[in-house]
Amino acid sequence: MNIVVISEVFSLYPMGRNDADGPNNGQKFFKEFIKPSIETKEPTTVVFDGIHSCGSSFLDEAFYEMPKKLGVGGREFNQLISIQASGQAYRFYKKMAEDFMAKIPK
Amino acid sequence: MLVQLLYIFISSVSGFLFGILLTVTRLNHAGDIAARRQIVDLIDEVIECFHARYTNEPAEQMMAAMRFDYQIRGLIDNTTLIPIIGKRCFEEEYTTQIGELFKASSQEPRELDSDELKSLFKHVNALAVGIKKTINIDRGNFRFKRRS
Repeated sequence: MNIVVISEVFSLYPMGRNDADGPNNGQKFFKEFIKPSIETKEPTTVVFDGIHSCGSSFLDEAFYEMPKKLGVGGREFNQLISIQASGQAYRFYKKMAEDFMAKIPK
Repeated sequence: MLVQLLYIFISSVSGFLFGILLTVTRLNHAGDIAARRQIVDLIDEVIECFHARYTNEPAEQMMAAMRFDYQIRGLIDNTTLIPIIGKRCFEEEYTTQIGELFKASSQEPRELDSDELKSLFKHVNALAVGIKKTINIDRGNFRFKRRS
């Protein structure tokens, strides 16, 4: 089981879709931390606690657009990738990420 | 005679207590009004940032997006609302509406034409009106003192 703490390994301000939107974007996060887990079928928990803010385009890209483009089914993605968050704001980001994940076609 | 005295005593005491209760409640409501006004101002700032994200130059759009994300977090972290509108209302209606506002910002400015932008602004302005209505809901617990 991999654990990816966004605030420690990626950024305190994850935002944007791709490099045009800045260095801490959703595509980069997906390629570096989520795609390898999908390829090796290794379950991964993404931890939101600790970030200062988060962009919706980052979540949309990393947890919906990129898995969809890669052809990963929603069921498989949801089985492999889980979100962890304990504080109030972090639970909000968890809910938002899970809403995006729920849109991936099965 | 004794019964009359007892009646007068009970009336006086209950009137006194009712007066205190009314005063405390009014003070409490004054605090609620200030807290609500602060959140309304924050919502106006969030909407302003949203518009800036979609109407300004690319560099300014980025800054506006960062400010928008940060202020959204401020709205979610605003626990002063919980005793006013009630925990359930905060966690369900309010958080859902803020979530809708948050998701609306996921569309990239470069991907939208002027009609889509107009429609998005209309949607977001309607969401702001809805959130402002929600923060005026009064389902909080009865409170003698406002916690700061």
